[in-house]
Amino acid sequence: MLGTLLRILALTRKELLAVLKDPRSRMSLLIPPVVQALIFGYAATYDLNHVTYAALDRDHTAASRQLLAGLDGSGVFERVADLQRASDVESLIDSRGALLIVQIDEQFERRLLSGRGADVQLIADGRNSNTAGTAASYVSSIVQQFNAAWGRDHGYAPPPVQVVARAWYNPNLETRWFMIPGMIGTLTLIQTMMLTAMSVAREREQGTFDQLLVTPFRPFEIMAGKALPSLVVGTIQAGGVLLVAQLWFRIPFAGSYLTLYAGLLLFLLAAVGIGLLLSAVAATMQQAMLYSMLLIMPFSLLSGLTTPISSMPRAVQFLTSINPLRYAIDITRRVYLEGAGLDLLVSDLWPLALIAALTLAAASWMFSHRMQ
Amino acid sequence: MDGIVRIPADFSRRVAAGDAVVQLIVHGGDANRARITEGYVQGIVGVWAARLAAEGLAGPAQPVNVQSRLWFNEANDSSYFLVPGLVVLVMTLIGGLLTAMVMAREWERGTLESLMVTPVRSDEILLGKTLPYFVLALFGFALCVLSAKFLFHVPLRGSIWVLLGASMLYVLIALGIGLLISSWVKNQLVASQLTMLVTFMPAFMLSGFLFDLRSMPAVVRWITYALPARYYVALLQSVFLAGNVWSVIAPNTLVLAAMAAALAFGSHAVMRKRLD
Repeated sequence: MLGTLLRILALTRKELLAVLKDPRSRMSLLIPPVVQALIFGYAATYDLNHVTYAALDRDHTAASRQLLAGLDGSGVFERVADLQRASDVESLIDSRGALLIVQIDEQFERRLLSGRGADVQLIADGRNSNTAGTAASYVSSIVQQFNAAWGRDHGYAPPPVQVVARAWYNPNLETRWFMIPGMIGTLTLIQTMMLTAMSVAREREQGTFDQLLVTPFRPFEIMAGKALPSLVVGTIQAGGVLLVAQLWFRIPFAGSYLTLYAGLLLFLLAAVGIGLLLSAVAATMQQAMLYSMLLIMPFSLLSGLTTPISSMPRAVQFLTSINPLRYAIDITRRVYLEGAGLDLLVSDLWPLALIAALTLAAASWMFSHRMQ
Repeated sequence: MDGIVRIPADFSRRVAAGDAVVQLIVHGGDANRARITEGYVQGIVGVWAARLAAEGLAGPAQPVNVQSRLWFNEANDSSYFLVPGLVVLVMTLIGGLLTAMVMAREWERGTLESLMVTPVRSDEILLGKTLPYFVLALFGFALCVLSAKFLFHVPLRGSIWVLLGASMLYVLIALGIGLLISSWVKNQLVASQLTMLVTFMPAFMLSGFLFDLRSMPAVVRWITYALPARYYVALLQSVFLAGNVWSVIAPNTLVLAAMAAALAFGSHAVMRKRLD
């Protein structure tokens, strides 16, 4: 028992030395997660702070100008053009000159004054429908402010129902608050999985794997020796991203570090298991790379990091249930923002445990099978 | 649970009086989803209020009504914006990562030196090493376009030839980046990690495929100008969804062409220097 442990530790040490001794390799594992968290933390936001729009004001009255002034004064909208003809709309949108066109028809003020209500046409560039939808909702809320002010001054009855919305756990619904905790899993998954998959493939490619086999190590010990270093690297990387989230972006941490790390460790175990399984299948590093990237793409796209899983087609939702990143992102967000404890995370923890157990068992079976 | 709608006890009396309030509590853990939920609830309440007004049960509708239209994607189908992004990711992976690996392997094993002593010229080595991946990437491109059309039903409103031309340029760039990285680090593990960082992650997060470039802080926006994926995404989105808009196609293709030329020149120079 002790002998096994010592042998595993010796292998781990050798593996860590192999990875960390080369300064370039060391840098490529430790610096990027932090730098990426910093850059993507700023970039990855659905909140818009600069929307270009053009006005097609056919009314030219005080009311229409008041409405447009509401947009201009919001600090978000920048009026790039005042269009005169409807035919200009198409070319401006096509060339990405403006994201939105606000069109106010003639008789806008007259209809308002007569109490009939008026329409405002909004045309949005739907090439990125996400951005367009957000921008359109910003316009709607500014129009609501205009309505409230206009209604008060001109004797309109207030709207029959008002919705007062409050968001728990993230009161201002800042994208960054849920994006950066989600990145803890995403950024570590990629490198941990690749590192594991490639470290075995490298030994195989260089022929040192056969040398390892003639040593008194048992297949299980070799596997554990390959898994541990990746776990260590992954844990350190996760810690780096966590530090960026707390110290740089100052996102309040509501949960316990112990819970978070327990969840992350299980996740890393699953990632390492997948990496080992890939390396058992791959004969060369290039193959290992190819397989891991075939997985990384669906894993990162279908994780719920950027698009909610509940809005994916049903078949795809089903597919995401084998994606370890999906559970890791849920765990980090819930522990980080809501302060959830382990008891609330059971539905995320057992799939991770299952993925880890299955992949590690399959990998160890393939290792011992191939070796004999 | 995504949200709680709280309707107070005297709701219908207050609707008649015109000051009813519905409270909505959304789960903010996923802010994006929370905002969508909030928007849906607002929309449904608005429709309901309008119907009340039409039936004369409550005061008149709002003074100003916004009628919005989403051009190029009237039905607001999310695969319309996901598919062009997917094409970028696939092309980036095939072009960048595989080439980075293949050259790094030769360096790692020292077989590039043995290639050198054969009468093959360095340009020919470069061409022979990259051509298979270029072809592979184009194969991937064909697969992407076919699945966009028949699997996701995303329209291709522009010319397929424009799309092909832009994609060839982009693959050339990705190949060049892969080659440069591999000849710089000469180690497969580091080369793959670096290529992932320099090509895939930026193409995912900083290309404008998911997040609006104009809303990023200035420093991050400057970084995006150096990324080929940014120009390729703009091209893909326009050619797929808007058609042949030359005011978008021309400048973006020009930048891609310039980058491809610079990288071809660069990897040629690096190979010459490293081999001689």
